[in-house]
Amino acid sequence: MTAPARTSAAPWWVIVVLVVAGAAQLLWAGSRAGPTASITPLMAPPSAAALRAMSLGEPALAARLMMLWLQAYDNQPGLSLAWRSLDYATVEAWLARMLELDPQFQYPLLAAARLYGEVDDPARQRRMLAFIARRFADDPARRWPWMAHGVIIAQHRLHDLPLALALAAALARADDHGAIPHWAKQMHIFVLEDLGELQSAQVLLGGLLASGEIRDSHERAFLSARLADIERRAQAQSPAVGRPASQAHHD
Amino acid sequence: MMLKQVAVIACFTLLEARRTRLVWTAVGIIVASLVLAECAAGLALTDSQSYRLVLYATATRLLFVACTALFVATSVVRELADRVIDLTLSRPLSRATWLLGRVAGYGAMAWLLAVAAALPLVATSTPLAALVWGVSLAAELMLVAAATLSCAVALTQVTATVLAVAGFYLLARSIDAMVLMSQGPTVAHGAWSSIFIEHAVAALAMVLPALGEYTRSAWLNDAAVGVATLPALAIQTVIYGVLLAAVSLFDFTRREI
Repeated sequence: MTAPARTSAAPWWVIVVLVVAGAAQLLWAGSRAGPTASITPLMAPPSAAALRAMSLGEPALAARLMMLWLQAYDNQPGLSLAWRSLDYATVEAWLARMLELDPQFQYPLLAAARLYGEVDDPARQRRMLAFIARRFADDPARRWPWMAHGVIIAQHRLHDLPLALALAAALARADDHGAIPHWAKQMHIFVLEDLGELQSAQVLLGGLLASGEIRDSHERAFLSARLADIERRAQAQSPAVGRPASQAHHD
Repeated sequence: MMLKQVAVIACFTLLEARRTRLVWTAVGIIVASLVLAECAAGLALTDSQSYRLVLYATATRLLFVACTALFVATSVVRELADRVIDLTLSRPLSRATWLLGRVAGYGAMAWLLAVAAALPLVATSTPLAALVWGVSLAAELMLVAAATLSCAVALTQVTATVLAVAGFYLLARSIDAMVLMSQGPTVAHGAWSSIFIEHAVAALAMVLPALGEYTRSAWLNDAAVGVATLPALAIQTVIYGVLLAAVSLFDFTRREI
């Protein structure tokens, strides 16, 4: 059916009604109080079973959509919420639910480490670090970057060296089948050094070099120089310390 | 005389709705929404009544809006395409009378659908809440029917009409949120694109009905809010309904048949 042709004339009263109704609409819309922004509290996430059902068998898609929704949550219409105003227990529940839906999904841990973990609130940062540490244990080979970032946050943002050491030690102990790079596995040595535990750092670094795991010549040279520095400082602290570990790994 | 003709055409519109099995479609929608709401209420560990109410209200609202738009679009386009309109207008009947009769018929249909949708709520919510929700749904369906009639007269194609009405409905439902977002703190207020978008959205808000304020399922738990909102909705419905009818008349009285 083709578009009908139009004549130029419309009855005058139709035009009057059109103009009057149009003006009334503009007046009414102008007199309406404008919309006001209000904060909608973050609700608890739906259960994994419900989400699986709603996603029609595509839990990976559901996890990704949930992540985008959560990420955009702090920008509600007309409002920009500070992360510190969010209920972190609920945020953590959302992140955990996404990992439950798709364990290979890295984004929730990235968000915990790099978004919600960067908030200027130690209690909230610690909650996110604890979440990362728990989830790291489930899949160390994939999730080590966020654990390594957690060590940095604990060490340099929270200035909590025992926490940094605990996270770094978990990294070092992880059964990762070679997926975690050496620099990440060595983090606990440098945290120990910062803690003033020079002898422990000395033993661990010496042992690492002696094990032969470090094959890159540049990395060996760097770590050897670092070990020598630690030994010098350890000897300055306690002249009674015995044979340097740097000699041990050359044996 | 004119009023009688309008009433006759409105009656024929309702007859058409019955003959095209709109009644059974509406019953199907209500039953499906009730089943969906009961399933959701059964799954909820707590607050199952609110799940039941909100799911039923939302499902029936959206499905009835879709049903109304589809029915009006197919009805008008079929009448224009089959040239039944030529036969009708060959009688002593003005175009304005035909169009007003159609508006009245679709309006009556909207009321019947809203009453049918609100009836189950009388048992599950309070009668006042069901009444307020039902009146608001009737007003919303009337606006959707009037908008569809305008689009169908202008576009004379079902697909184009339904898509245009869907766009109108979604825009009218979300315009308040769009206004807030266009003025929000994350917008770069100095950028010319932001200024343009802010003014464009504000202008759009002036010419659209705020459908986001209609038929809120939250009223079923707190009828007082709905009662307080109803007068403003009534005024908005009358103004916008007359505007849409005038747009349809303006186009329909100018077309060659």
